[in-house]
Amino acid sequence: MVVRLLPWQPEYGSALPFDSETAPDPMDPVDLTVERPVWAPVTPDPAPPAAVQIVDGVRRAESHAMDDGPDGEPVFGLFGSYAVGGVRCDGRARILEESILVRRRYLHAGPDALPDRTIVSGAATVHFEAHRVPSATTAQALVGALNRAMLDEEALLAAELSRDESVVTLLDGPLRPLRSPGRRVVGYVKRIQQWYVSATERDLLPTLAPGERTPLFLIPPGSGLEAGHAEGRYSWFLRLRHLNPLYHPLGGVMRLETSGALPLSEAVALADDTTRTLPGLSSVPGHDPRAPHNLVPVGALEAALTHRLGDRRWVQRLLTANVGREAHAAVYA
Amino acid sequence: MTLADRTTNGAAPEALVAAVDAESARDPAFRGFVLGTEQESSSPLGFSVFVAPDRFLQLDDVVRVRTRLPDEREIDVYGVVDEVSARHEGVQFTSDVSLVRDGILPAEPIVSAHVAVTRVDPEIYVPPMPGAVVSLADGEARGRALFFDAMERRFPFGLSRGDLADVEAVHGNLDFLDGRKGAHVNISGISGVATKTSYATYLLYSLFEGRRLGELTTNARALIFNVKGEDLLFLDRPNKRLEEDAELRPAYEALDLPAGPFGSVGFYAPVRRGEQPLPDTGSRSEGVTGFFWSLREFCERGYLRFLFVDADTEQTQVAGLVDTVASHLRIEARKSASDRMSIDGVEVTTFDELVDAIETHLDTDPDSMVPSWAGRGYGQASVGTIRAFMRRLQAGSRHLGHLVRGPEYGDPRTHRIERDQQITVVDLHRLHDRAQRFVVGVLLAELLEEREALGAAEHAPPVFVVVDELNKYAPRDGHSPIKETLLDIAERGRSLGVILIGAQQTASEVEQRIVANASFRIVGRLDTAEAQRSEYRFLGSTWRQRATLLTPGSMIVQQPEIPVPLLIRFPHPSWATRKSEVASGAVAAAPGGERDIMARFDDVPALD
Repeated sequence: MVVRLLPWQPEYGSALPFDSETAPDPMDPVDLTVERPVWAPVTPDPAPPAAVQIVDGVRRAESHAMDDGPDGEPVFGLFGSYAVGGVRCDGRARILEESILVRRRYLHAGPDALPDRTIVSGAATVHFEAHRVPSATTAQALVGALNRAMLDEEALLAAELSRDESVVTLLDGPLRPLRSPGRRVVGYVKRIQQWYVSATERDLLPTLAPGERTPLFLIPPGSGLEAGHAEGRYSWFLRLRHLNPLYHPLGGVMRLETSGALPLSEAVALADDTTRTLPGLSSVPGHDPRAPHNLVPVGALEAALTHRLGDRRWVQRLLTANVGREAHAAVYA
Repeated sequence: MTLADRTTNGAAPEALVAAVDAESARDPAFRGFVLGTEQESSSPLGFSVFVAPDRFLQLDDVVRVRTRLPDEREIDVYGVVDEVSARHEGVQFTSDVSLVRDGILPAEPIVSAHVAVTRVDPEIYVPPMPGAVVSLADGEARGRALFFDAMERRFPFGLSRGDLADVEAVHGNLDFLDGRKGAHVNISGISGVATKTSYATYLLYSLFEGRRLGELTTNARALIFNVKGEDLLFLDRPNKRLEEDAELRPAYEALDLPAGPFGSVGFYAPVRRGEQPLPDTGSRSEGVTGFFWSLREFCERGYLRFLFVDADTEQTQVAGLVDTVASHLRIEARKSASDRMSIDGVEVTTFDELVDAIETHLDTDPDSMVPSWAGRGYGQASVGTIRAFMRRLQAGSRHLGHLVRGPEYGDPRTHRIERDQQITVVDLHRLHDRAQRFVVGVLLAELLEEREALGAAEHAPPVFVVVDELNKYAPRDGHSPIKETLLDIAERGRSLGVILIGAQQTASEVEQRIVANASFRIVGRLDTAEAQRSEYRFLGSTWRQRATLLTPGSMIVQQPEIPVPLLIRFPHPSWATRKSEVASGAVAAAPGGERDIMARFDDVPALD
């Protein structure tokens, strides 16, 4: 037995399924021979890296809150912000400034609708839209709702951007059903929650070299954590980069997927494009806490999006002043 | 929802800022916006600028920011760019630069500049607000930034750096030069590269040929010592480069100066050894007056003390003996017949005879028949002191005995340095160091005495004295008669109309009070170690570093009214600085008319 490290910083968990808190759903068997009869490494023909655009989002809980409900019962609330945007790498890397969207929410678990909160400070206006999350029973559930709102916004943006089919549109996480997406959309899974393939096939993964992938396999509809694809999903593994031997070889592997509705040849082309392109975009341990999975342009996009949320202390200060004025008025009226 | 419908809700993104102010972006003078980050916050004395991507700012650019007070009053803040830096914004790791180049990491190169504030108008010291528009100041606005509008009388220090098409003159306030509000110039820099003498000569040129002294120009005078090579011996000849270098005349035009030689120059050189009082020069002898002093002047005016100019003399017993002997010589001179010099009634006709006479009077033998000048009893100089005195006197005699002569060897009145031309060049370069100090000491003392005798007339025509190698004449440590004279000029020259243009390689080796009294401090190329000395603290760290990079013809100028140093370039001399530069076919514009200054030119080496 040789002990080896996993490359992610521990506060981010790990990229591998044993980190998953939920047990994998029972699933139908995947079709391993949809592309090739033999489960062996595939090396795409040499070609220049593909132009890609990647959609991502960030969220931030600004402050937990508690309101008085109509019957005097306390109502949990959460002030939160999120931002989504895209980054494009087509020979030059640039953040798609016009795609960036910043949203702020006042999420609460109360039975009745609450008013929005608009805070004006100098030239800046910060608008927290009030939304009910009736299902929420814990503060963590409200944070989860904020996360879902961000993911929905990411899906909308990905659908919007994917209309440009001259580039591959990459979306963080398993491929979600998009409304009217383009044909070149790939989901990349940083944190593998489910292998889909058996231990025997998994033996191939540590042997993959950068620029190689597994054959495509077809995940049938209704399987896995992200159901909703009527035709199922094509999926493949690839290696992002050779890591120092101190890291476990599985630490540099990523799973990707695209719509099962595509003709197989288009899915293969997407798999080849990502195999040629993503290793070059992967990050280096030491530079990114989730290296190599958090792609370099995505790291920069996340920094830009976080920046666009505004300074955390500044937002908290606005909230404190705004809520504080009301609270004082209520107490001393 | 389309992309165009998306709006932002939060802090304004900096990438959009440049596009926001379309009106500013159309202004050709527009350069960027005032920064207000934690690291680069704006202050009334300095601020940083985000330079718009399609514009640039460079070091020494003059900029203006208009900022608005809450009561709607507008404040103009002016400044000079003293630092410009570029970086990939948000990029953290060294190797990220190749990721950006490879199109993997999105990052934009951005440029920011730092501005040192020169002027706030009106004087309400508020910081320029972050986001305020920064514009290049040229023409009148630039003049306001550099206080040119407040200078009623001014002279051109030189040109701003840049292409000839857009250089502008950098002015100095004459009131701080000619004694009205201040006086004196001090120039530091490495020999050969710093072009100190060239710059001092350029300053004289701008004052005299540019007639910047106004009605005082005609009667103002300058005394300049040629200590190295013969580069000052052709001031009255045009430089042939005026015809060869197409940019030279326009440079002088930009300075509003004529391009040509000095119009009024008198050249003086020490006489040669030997009986004929001929000037001892190299490539130029005609048009040059040989100078010497008569023995009688030497004794009557106490010039003996300028033979003892080593910095340590003052502290030794020798100094006392020098004073005693000098006073005896003065008494003897008064007893002598007019323009002759006798001691104990015996006429002295050469310097050697004078030295012998002095030695005889220092004989401490009590049986000596000659009255002793060495004192009596406790006051008597020791044998050691007398020997030290005689040793130095004899050394002086060896090197400059030929400059002090009796009446048989020429009429001293026709071999006196007269300063009847505007510029008086005294050539010392063939004299021994000891003799150089003697001549400089005597001439400065004469000048000071003369101005004192005139009395302090309001706005009298000034006399400029150019002294290079101040570290030799006024070293930081010790005392000497020349140092006292120079200190006197530094401290009282302003009221006497004697303006010192001093220069040295290293200001750290010069008497501090002389450097400190200069209204204008000018720095050429400095040695790296020297630039770190406290004498240059007025430059600040950026300018000290730049001083080590200056090329010939560039100087850093600090003047009283402008709180930041300015970099200037001065044009190549329009007068010849060596024989080979003299424009061919140029006719002698010699002062006095009949002097033939074209005779016997030899080539001379280039020196600064």
